[in-house]
Amino acid sequence: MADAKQAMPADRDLVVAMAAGDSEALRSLNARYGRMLAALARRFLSNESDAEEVVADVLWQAWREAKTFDAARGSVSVWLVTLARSRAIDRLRANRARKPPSGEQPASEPVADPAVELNQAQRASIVRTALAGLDSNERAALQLAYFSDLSQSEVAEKLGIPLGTVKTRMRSAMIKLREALSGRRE
Amino acid sequence: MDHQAIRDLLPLAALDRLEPDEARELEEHLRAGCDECEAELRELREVAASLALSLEQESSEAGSEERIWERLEARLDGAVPQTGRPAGAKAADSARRPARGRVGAWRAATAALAAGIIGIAIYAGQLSDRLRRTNEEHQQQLAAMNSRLAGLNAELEKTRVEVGTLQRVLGDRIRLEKVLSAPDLRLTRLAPLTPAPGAHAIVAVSATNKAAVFQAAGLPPTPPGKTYELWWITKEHGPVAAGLFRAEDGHPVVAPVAPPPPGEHVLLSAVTLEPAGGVSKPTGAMYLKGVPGPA
Repeated sequence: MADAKQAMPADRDLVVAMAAGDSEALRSLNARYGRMLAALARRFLSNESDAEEVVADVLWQAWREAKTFDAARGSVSVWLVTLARSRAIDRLRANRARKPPSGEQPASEPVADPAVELNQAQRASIVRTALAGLDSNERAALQLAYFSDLSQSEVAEKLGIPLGTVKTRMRSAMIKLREALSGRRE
Repeated sequence: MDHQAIRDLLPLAALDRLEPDEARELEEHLRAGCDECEAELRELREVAASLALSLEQESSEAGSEERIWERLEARLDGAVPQTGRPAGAKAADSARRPARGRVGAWRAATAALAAGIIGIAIYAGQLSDRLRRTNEEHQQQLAAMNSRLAGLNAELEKTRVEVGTLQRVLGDRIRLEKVLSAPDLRLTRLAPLTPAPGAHAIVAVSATNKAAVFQAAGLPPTPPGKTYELWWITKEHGPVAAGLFRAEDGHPVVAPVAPPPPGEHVLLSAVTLEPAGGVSKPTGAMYLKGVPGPA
């Protein structure tokens, strides 16, 4: 795992290698994104094991569909994050169908992340800085929209603001975040 | 919806938070070939995905990466097939993976075939195991239902007994009321004797109704193998059995009994304790005794 990090092949190269049947490339992709995807899934799911299962499903899907991956449609990280978020929401809904929710979004315990590679740490830092620079109302709308399974109307209800305001805040937050992140590319 | 209105939807689309009608409008717009919106949406999706990066140092347990890899490795090795995936798909995956090391085509084909066979065997084993577990669950459910049914039957039988008792008591009460309301009612009060100093009883007789009812309280509970017996002691035939009854602790006794033989002159009425089943002439201790009252 550490070896793969040292080489730092591009994400696209890893996917190409996976398409050729190289399981080490899958291992490298997990080393690069597994923890981050698990953290994302953990925002939707109440236990770590479910979150890890979701990530394993996502990476397994990436392994199986590597041949059909189209870089023109978006980066590997967007692909994985989109899959993870979608699968986590599916799992959340399935869990809700099995038992009534015991509370709101699971609060994850902050855990130190000493092993994260520098490149990702820098990107994470940029995103956090950009988020911190948003108006607090816009940031709340944005995070609620992205890290929950709530519709626009439900977000409006939760924040106690009109639907139109929610849309405006989400839109504005996304545009500002894009501007803040501009210049940073994978 | 014009181009600008569609552009306004893009940030929400990137967050996957469009309402269904908005999503439809956007899809149609993109299908019509708007490269500008397509590119902007792609860029905004990158922005949305970057939100996940902000989480990395907030959550996820240490070692999650290794555990995820263990799950993936198990799938790669075919030890744990993905839920819901047919064996064929797994075999195809196995076939797609190159054999590790330098092997010839024959060995690769053999490995793929073996992987396929193993996959099918594992799938069959799992299917068999699933059927066995389902069968066991059904057996357990059946046993639980049988047990519940037996419990319900026992409750039903108990209820039947209680209903029978209540019907009997009700019948006795009705009979008692009928006798007590008869114009020729004649009461015999029985006083306690030494074996039951706290007991007392009354016998109500209606000759026209040819009915008599005995009511008592304070009698000791009937000992096992014994019964209380009521007697009419007539001038003509001496003791004449009038009926048997049992006494329970704390419960008054109400029992239908036989009226005195018609035309005979009753001198006394008495209660004795006799062997179960009763006797034709008194043999046991006398508990209650009384003289008939005026007609």
